[in-house]
Amino acid sequence: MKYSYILLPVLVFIFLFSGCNSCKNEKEETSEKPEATEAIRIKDTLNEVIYVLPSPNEILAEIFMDEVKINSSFVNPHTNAKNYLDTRSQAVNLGVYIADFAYLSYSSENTTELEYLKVIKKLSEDVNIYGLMENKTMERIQNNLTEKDSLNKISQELYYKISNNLENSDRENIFTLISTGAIVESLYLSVMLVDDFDDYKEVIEKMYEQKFVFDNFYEYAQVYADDPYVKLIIDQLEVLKQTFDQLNKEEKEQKVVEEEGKMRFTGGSKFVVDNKNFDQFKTNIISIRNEIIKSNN
Amino acid sequence: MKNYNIFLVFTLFVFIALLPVKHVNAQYCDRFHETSACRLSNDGSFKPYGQSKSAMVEIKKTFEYKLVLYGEKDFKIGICTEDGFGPVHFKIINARSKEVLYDNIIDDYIESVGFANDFTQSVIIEITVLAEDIEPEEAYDTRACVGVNILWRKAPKIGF
Repeated sequence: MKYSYILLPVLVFIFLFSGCNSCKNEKEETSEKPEATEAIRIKDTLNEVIYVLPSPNEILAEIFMDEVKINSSFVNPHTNAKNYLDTRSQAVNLGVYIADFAYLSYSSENTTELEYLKVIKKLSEDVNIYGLMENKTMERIQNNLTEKDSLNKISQELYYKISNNLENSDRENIFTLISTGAIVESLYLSVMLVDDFDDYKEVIEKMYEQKFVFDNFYEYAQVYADDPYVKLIIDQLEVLKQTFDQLNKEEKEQKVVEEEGKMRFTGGSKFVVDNKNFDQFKTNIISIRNEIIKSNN
Repeated sequence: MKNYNIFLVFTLFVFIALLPVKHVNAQYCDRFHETSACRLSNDGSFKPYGQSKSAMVEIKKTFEYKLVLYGEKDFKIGICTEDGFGPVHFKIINARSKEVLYDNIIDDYIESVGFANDFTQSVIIEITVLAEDIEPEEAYDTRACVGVNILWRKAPKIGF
C-alpha cells in the first residue's frame, strides 16, 4: 500500500514529463533543419490549409450518375487481405477495400459486402485504428444489407471516421496511404465499367473531372512527403498525375451571374473525351491499381 | 484506506486535468458542422455533402479550406462558429484562377450562401473567425471550433 502512494504520482509525472520532452524535441528538430523550412511551415500551420477529399462512394456516385452495371469480379478479392503484411500495403489496401465496399453497395445481390466489412475492420486494426466498427455497428450493417442507400451512407461514414481518427492522432501519413488506395480503386472500378466508348462519353468526362480531386489529394500528400511510406506512394502516383495532366480540356470563361436572384458560377474547364486518350487513361489506371494490390508492393 | 482512496481520486483528477487538450478539443469539434449551430434551411431536396467538415482554428487568423465542388449541382454552404466568436468572414475562391467567386462581406458577414455550380472546380473557402467581441490581448492563441456545412442537389433541368 505504501508503495502505491509513491508509485501513482511517480507514474503521473513520468507521463507528463515524457509529453513535454516530445514537445521540446519538436522545437529542437525545427531549429536544426533550416533547409526544410518550407515543409515544416506547411505542416506546423496545417490548420491554415484544410484539405477535404470526397469519399469513394461520392466519387463513384459522381461518375456513375444513375446507371451502374456492377461486376463483382472487378473488386480486389477479400481473400487477398491476409497477404498484406506491412503497414504501407495494409493502409493502401484498406482504402482499396473501402472503395470496393462502396462499389458493391450499388449491387442488389448483397452477397459479399459483409466479408468486405470484416476485411476493412481487420486492416484498420492492423494499422491501429480501433473503434471503427463496434459489434453494434456490425449488427446495424447486417440489418441494412438489403438497403442500398444505407450501405452507401455507412461506407461514407467509415471513410470520414477513419479520416477524423487519424487526424486527431496526428497520423495523416496513414490517411494519405488509405486515400491513395481509395482514389485509385474508385478510378479503376470506373474505367472497368466502360465496355463501349461511345455509350460512356459522359461517364468518361466525369472520370476526367476527378483530376480536381486528385490534384487536391496530391497537394495534401506533398505535406507528408518526408514520411518514407508517403514518399514511395508519391513516386507511384506520379504516373497518374501525368495521366491527368495530359488530358485535353477547353476553357470557358469563368463568370458569376445572377439569375432571378440566384447566384450561378459558370464557366471553367471542360474535358475533351476521345477514344485514344481514354485508352491511355484506362491502361495507366489499371497498371497503377494492379501495382498497389500486389502483396509485396 | 479511506485516505488512500481520496488520494487516488485526487491524483487521477490532476492527471486527467493535465492531459493534452488538443485531442479532447479535436474530438469535440469533429462534428460541429452537424450541430444546430450550423443548420441550413432545407426543403428536403438537398443532401449533406461529404466534404463538410469541422476544425479547431485560431481566431482572427485566416485559414483555407480546400475542396472540390462537382458540376451541374446547386449548393448551400454554411460557415458557423461557437457562440461569442462571430462574425465569420468567408470567401469562395477558384483554386486555380484565384478569382473570388463570393465574399460574404457584401452581405454583412451572412453565415450561409446558396448558388448553382455549372462546372466541376476546385475551390478554396478562405475563412477568418473575426471574434469581434474578444479583445486583442485575450485573442492570442485563442481557438474556436468552425464548421463548414455543405448541402447539395442535382441542378434541376430548366426549360422543356
